[in-house]
Amino acid sequence: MQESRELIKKWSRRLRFLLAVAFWLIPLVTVAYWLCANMLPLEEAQRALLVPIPGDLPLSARLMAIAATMLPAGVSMYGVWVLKRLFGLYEQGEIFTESTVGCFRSLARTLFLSFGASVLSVPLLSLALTLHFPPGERMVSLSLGSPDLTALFVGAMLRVAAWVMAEGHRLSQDQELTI
Amino acid sequence: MTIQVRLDVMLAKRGMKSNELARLVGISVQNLSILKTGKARAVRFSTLDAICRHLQCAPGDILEYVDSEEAAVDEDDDT
Repeated sequence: MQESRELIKKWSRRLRFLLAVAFWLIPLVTVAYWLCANMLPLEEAQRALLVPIPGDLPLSARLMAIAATMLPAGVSMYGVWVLKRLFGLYEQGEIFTESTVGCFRSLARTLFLSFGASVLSVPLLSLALTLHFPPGERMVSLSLGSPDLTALFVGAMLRVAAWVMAEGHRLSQDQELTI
Repeated sequence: MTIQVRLDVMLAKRGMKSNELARLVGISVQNLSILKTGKARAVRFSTLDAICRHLQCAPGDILEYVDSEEAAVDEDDDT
């Protein structure tokens, strides 16, 4: 038992470090991607957003794209921050406590938020990338894919898991306080 | 909590120290303290049995039911 606790602590420390790096990488990569968009192939973005990107994007379009992409990126950053906190708690030996249950609740909330952010960011991004087009050629696209629905489904599962963990925490406290 | 633990009263009557009772009963001093301060959520029959045996008393000497509403009224009357 002690050995598995040590293993949890060791891996939690490593994962917490990786998550700390990811927390800062998410906004950096987002900003760098759009700032260097003219040097990168944008076929993937065109396919995902269903908008044509014929030539180089002006700076204003790229800045608006950054703002639109920061919505889901911000939600991802929040999710990574919650995970970092969760692994920090595991590292301190807190496994079935109110704080860890709170982290699971927050993770479920993050997935619900990511669904909303994803649905909102597509029209915003498509508008940002076509706003410099002449009137009549500007586009707003809407998209709802299976990854969005998966996030919603996993979020609901995590919410139930958080309830189960809260019950587990109550039972463990009951056992601790039974003399 | 309407069940009050009167373990400290019984310990004083028997002239026994907490750590001595904890040792005799086979529980930790911390757990006995949880019991004494009324923070325990449950008491095992085996623990109660051992406490009563070593303190030469009945469960009713250690555990007392106090109606929380009545207790509150009594406190108001006193003031």
